[in-house]
Amino acid sequence: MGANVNQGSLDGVTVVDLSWGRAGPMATGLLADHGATVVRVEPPGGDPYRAMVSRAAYDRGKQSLILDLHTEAGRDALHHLLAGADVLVESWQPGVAEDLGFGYDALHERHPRLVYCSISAYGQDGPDRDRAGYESLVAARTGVMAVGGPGTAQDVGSAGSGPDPVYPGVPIAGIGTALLAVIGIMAALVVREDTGTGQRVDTSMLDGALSFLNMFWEQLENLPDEAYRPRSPTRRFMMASMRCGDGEYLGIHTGANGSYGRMIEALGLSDRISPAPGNREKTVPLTDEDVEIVTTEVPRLFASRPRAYWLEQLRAHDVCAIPVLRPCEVFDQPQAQHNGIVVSVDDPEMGPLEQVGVAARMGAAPGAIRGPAPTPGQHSDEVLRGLGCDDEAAAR
Amino acid sequence: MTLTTLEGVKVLDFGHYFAGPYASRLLADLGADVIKLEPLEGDLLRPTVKPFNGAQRGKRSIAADLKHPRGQEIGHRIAAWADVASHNLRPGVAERLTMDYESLRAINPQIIYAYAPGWGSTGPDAGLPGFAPLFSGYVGLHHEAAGSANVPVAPVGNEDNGNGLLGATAILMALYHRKRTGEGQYLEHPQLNATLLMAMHLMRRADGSVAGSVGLDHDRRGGDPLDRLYRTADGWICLSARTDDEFARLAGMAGLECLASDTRFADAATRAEHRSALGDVIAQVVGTATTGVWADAFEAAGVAAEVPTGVEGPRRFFDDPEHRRDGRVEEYEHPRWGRTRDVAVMVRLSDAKSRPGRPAPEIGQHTREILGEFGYSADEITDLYDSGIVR
Repeated sequence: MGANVNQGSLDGVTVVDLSWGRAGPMATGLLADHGATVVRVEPPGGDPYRAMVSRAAYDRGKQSLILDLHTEAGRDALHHLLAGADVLVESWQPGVAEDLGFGYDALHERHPRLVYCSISAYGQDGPDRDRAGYESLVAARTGVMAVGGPGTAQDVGSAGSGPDPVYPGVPIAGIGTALLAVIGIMAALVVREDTGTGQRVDTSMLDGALSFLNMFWEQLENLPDEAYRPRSPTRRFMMASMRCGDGEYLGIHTGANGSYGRMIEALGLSDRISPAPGNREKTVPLTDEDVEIVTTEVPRLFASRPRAYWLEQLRAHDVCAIPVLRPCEVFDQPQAQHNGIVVSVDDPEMGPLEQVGVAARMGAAPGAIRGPAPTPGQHSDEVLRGLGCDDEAAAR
Repeated sequence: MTLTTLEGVKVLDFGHYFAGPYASRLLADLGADVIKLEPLEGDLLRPTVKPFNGAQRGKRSIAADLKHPRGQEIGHRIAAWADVASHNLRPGVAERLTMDYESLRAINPQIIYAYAPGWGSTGPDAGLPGFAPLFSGYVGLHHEAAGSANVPVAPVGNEDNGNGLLGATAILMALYHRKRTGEGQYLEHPQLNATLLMAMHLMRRADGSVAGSVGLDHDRRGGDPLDRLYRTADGWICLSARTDDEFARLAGMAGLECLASDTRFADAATRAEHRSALGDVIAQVVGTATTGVWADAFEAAGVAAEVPTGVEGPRRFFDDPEHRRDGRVEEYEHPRWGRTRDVAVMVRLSDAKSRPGRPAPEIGQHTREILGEFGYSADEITDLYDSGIVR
């Protein structure tokens, strides 16, 4: 009770981030957005994956400290830092932290309040523990590259429903892992308020992939086959991207009750498609003649007018229609701006960058973007002096 | 398996479909007591069995008519008990059902109210419908997943999952805030924001160009020749060798020595400049031998590579005893679906104990038990059933 919390939910919480890549830095970046002080500890020369430009978003608002953990002075400085820290995040291969003297057991004894989060490729033990945990490789091994086979997702129209594997267009394993790590860290911090002690949080890139795949991954002995057969063409349902007259695409989803009929009306085809009561339209199949019209004339109609026209028509009929925009075009959309989620950050290396801001809108303590991603070692002097360490020796 | 980390945390979820409910499912995985309050006809996602189960495992279900004052009273009694109330109904609906933040805060001043609207509770598009995966298209991810010069396509990985994950982080932050200050709060995690979070790696430079794109090629094999899929003589392999050390190991392999001697590939900068040529050289060599030969060769050379799994991916995952042991896979008998194996705990906490999890509930499976817990007498419960208020 009584903590001084007015900026973000994590005001006063210090996070030491020893991770690299996507998952760890994205996780600690979310904690920073919500008020945590995050110190990224990088090896001499900086994070080996600094070339990853998304770092400009994930590392914003953090401090960077260069420490050589292969020297005693470096390890000593890290211990000083951990003495005042609440959370540690690491993504070394299993066993590396122990070899450096920063394994969970050793740190828990020395810093019992510390919440220790480990992010691995496939878990801390098990036969795959030493395999590399890059996004692409985890995607290949777990099935993200080919989710569309029979009996799995059949996520109509999604990438991966063809015969060949496809590289993931969205790094879901890394994103899922980041969010799972935050969930685990926050749960441990909540528990610590009662127990006074920290604990180990353990997640992996495999878990991150699962956090998305579990929408479809389940084995049910009695699930009828038809539950996952491709959608019947006679069903009054459309989920598609339609090419419009100006070459732009419009996403359409008629999942809501009655919305298929309303779409037919918006397209001016009501008198040519057999009628069905709005609230039960999905139980009344289309006739062969209807299917013929839907498969030939509907695409032609969309192609006859620009996207803005169809967007207006469909929305006037309360049909879910959303433009398929190119990356970052959404930043200019009024609702995104209204939600306050588009921010501009002046990155020291890349210049001014518009990026996605604080995603969760917390009523009590909203959080904020507190600055750009640091250059490697930008805060070394400041942080080490604060700890009373010899900065030259620590970073060497 | 369920962990006991959040034991004692009480959640009322009156949302539907996937995005909102997935947040409370993630809390149930960590031991929260989650009551799903659904309409008498059941959650609209129920016929879509696998996604429904994915969003609802670990919860109890009560079915009640929230359009009726007696149904609302049930909702209010549960809200008075709850630490967290959550839903993803369209803006205005919770107000009509007297389940909005102001109504629930009047009953329970410390409540955490987590709302997952599509676009936002207010704003120019607040009233519009929004279904997955259309938000992914809106934030540019369908173009990202399509590959160069292809028709936009939904990526593998649905924003519904992303929003559930975001919602769980936000609810836990609010619980932490309440532990430290005693204060409850209203919070929002719109689907639009969650989908933008999944596109956080995409940024816009001052000149309007996009930074952070995966840059998939036309065949969707990857964007970087040193981190992509290659076709072998009989299938596929995915390799990753982006750092100087990794590249040196790749270029030291039999058949790939040409990479080491070619000045175009001398350092990271020249490799980036000649990325297309680099991909062609590797593709040509990799195409000469089988996947099995390459998998062994890469492993022997210390080059990270994996053989992409197809439909056997889930089977291999569920069959692996390791995943049962660490709680990622749970098996149980479901009344309708028989022997069921599903994905369970995805983040583990060392101080937690584990106990068996619950399968996703049937409609109103726990109605009687829950009404009893909230002080309804046997006669009242019978009358609620007879009056069609509960199921």
